Formats: sequence, structure tokens, C-alpha cells
Amino acid sequence: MSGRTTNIMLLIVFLLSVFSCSGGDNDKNTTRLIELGDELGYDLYRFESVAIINVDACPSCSGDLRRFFVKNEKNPSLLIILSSQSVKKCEFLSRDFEHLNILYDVDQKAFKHLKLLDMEPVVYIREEKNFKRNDYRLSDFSELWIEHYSY
Amino acid sequence: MLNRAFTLTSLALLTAILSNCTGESESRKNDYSHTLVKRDSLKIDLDFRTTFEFQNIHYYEDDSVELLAQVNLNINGLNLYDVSSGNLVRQFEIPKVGPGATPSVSGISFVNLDSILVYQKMSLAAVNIFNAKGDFVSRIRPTRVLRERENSKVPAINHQSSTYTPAVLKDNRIYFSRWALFNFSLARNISDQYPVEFYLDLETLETHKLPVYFPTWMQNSGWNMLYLLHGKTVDKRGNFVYSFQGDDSVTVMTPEGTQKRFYAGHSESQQSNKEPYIGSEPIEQEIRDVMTNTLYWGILYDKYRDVFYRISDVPVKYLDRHRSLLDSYEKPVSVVILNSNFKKIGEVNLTEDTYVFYGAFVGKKGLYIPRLNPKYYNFSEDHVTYSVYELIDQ
Repeated sequence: MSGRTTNIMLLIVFLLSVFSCSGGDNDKNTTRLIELGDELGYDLYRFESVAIINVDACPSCSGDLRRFFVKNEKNPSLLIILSSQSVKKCEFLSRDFEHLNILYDVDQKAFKHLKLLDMEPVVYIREEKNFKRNDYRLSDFSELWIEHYSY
Repeated sequence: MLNRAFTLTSLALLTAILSNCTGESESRKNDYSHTLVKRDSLKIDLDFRTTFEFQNIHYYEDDSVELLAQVNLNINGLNLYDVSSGNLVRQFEIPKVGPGATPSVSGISFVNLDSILVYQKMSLAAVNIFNAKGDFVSRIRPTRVLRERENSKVPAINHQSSTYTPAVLKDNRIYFSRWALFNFSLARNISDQYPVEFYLDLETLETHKLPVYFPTWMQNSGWNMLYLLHGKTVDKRGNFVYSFQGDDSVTVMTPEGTQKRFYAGHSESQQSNKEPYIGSEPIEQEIRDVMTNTLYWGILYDKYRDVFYRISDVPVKYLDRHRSLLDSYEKPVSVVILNSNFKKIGEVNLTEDTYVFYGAFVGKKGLYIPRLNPKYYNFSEDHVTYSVYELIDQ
């Protein structure tokens, strides 16, 4: 076997392992996300995207979060999960957005136990049976518009 | 005989229990001349628009009233509480548009009942003045403002105006602290060229840098960001005292401009080992460093007793469940006491799982520390309870 063929084979093996790893991450995330949905009493497969926000990470970012809510207010396939130890804060943040699907994760399961996010917000986009993780900076989040496809 | 032994044992037990139940047991006696003793408490009920985040509070007192102003970010406004009763006496929103518009309030300076200076987050394009009733009074419009980056077209600056980093109005100037926006783990950023303090001259309406820099021993090395954030206070002689969160000492700038350093750290048994970073570290390492090292979160001046309280925490073991820097809220709180000559005269560890490092203030009765530890057994979203500590000569 020539050196070149070996290199190509190695490359294929490498790429396969990368793809299988990232696939594995998606599988893990999906399993954890579904577990979170079960805990909160929601079937997350009803949604195309799930945004999880660590509200406690930035006490002064309420305005940014509200702007994100306003931008995505007309997206029925988006579920927003607010992770915070304060029910009051979650209620206050979401009180003007009755058309949005918003859940409160007051035990912070998503953050502390299931490790679905860190300090910055994440959006999980469903691709068939799997949810793919997308990380954002809170400072950019207020400008984020999550597309909704009507089939 | 047996009866007597039983009685003595019971008495000893009772004494031990009582001495632990007086509420003063937190203040342990040690080699220092002063300590803190819990004497009172203050309960503040929180209305539906107020959450327990008391990170940005400001104390004000005159002959008639003792007030605590809380920057309420839920409403982009202020709550004013009567410190003697805990009652909410006024709540108002700062407008986001129109006269006095401050769309994102970052903090205030409570000058008097007619003048509360309100600052916009990341900008000093305007400082709006409101009275304690919430009426817009007037506006200061600085003409030349320091920028975070010298050549930046955007005049953004991360000025501070919260509890431990107050914007101080003095001699017709407002003294600001600024927290850098660069990467603190890169050694090249922690230079002797970055002033962390500046002031706004209210006559010329221009800002000027002050020669206050990162502590020399920390310069030219990268560090955990939390070590390099700083706060300040000012005493009645006009001395500015700067406290960096990772520094055992404080820097004092006298009214004449001379700078001196004073040890204001924990005793040996509670000291920690802060290591510099070589480039960016994984977040797990940053969390580990914050949990296992002492951080000095702020320094408060007690004008009634002419002493300083340095609010710090005690290192704890790093656990797998520690997932973010917010876990530092769980660390036990400790207070280092300095006299008016900046000599350490006390060090007091407070009860674990009760207090949190933020939200402390000094009032007529003493040092107020909130019971806001996430593990506090009586934690509630409906009220904040402060313990009031009195300074005593032991």
C-alpha cells in the first residue's frame, strides 16, 4: 500500500471519527434535553428549537433578554427555558410575552445537572430526531432571530 | 452523687448550647483587638417587582432619614427603603426615552434627597439627575470622555457605580472605577499602563485618568479575571482606598496624591495560593481557582466608627458540582477590619451557609450583611434579611 493511500485512509478514519464524535455529542445532548423536557412536563419534539438561558448569569441583562423575546414573539415552534433560582425573576421577565412558549427551570437542572448550557445562552435546533447545540454570547442574543418554517 | 454529676453535665451542655444560641457566636475571639457581634436584624419585604439581587445598593443618611437605595434592574429604576423599618418608601422607574432617558441603568450616586446621579451602562455621554421622588432634575453632559480603547470611535467605557465600586462625588469631581474589557489571562494586558481609575471634572466636563494601576506584583502576568477587578471607598480624611479582589493588600491614595500599601488580608490559616495564568485557562480551572482561593469582594468605610470592613470569602473545596463562578455565592463570608491607620484590627468569619458577599452596607447601627446565601435555610424570594453587626473592642 502506497504512503499516499495510507494517508487517505487515515484521513477517512479521522473524518469518520470526527463525524461520529459530533454525532455522539448531538445524541447525548438530545437525550439530556428530552430528559429535561420530561422533568418539566413537556414533549420537546413538539418544537423546532429550544433556547435555554441562564438568567442568573447576568443580573443586568434583562433588557437584552426582553429584546430577544420581542424578536421571536411570533415563533410558535420555539420553546424558551429560563434557568434561574428565582421564580419571581422568571415571571417578571416573561410577563408581557404570553404568546411565547416559556418554561422555568428553577432547580437549574439544565445548567447544574444535565450540563446543557454554561453561562451563555444556547439554542438547540432540531434536525429530524436530534437537537444540535448552538452557543451564543448574551451580548449578541438580543439580536438573534430564530427562523420558523411553516410546512 | 450521680444526680450531681448529671446536673453538672446538663449545666455544661446548657451553657454550651446557650453560648451558641446568643447569635454572637459567629464573632470569634482571636488575636485581634476588635470583633463583630450580631446585635440586630433588618427585614426588607420585596414587592412583586423586586427580586433578591441586592448587588447594587447605596446607603444615604441625613439628620432626618436613613435610606437604602437599591438599583432595581427589573424596572430599570430605584427602590428606596427606610433602614429603620425596612419599609419601601419609594419606587420609581428611570425613563428609557424622553427627558432623563437612561435606557439601561448601571448605577447611581446618592448625593442627597434632591440629587441622585444616574449612570447609563457603558456610557458617560450623559449623567441624569433625579430627586428622591423620581422627578428628573437635570442632566450633565460630559464633553470629552475617556474611551475603553484609545483609538475607538465608540466612546464606550465600562465605568462602575455599584456598592463596592461607588462613583464618588467629591470636590466637584465624580471619581469612577473602570473594569477593563480585555482578556485578563493575557500577561500583556496586565501592564503598568492601564489606569483603573478616572474622574469627571464637573467644571470642564472632561474626564481624566488617575495614576492607579493593577498591583505591581500582578503586573505582566495573566490572572483569573476576578482577581483583577477592584473596588474602592473613601474615608473622612479624603483617603481613597483601592481593593483588588485577588490582592491581600490595599492601596491608599492620600489627598496629596501619595500612594501607600497596607496588608489587609486573611490570617495565615486562611491564606490561599493564587497562581498566574499562561494564556486562557479552561473554565473549570477558573471556577476551581475562585472556589479554592480567598477573594476580597469589596471594602466599606464606616464613618460612624472610623474603621474599614473588607468583605471577603473563605476558600472551600472544589467540587464537581461547581459549575460556574456563581457558585462563589455559596462560600462563607469573612470580614477583615482595619482601623483609621489601615492597620488590621480584626478578622471575623461569619456563619456558613447564611451570608453572601454582596449587598453589605454600613449604617448607624453597624455593618449590615444580607442572609442571601443560596443554602440559607430561610431563603425566600419575598424578603431579604440583614444581620446587623456591631463593632466591639474585645
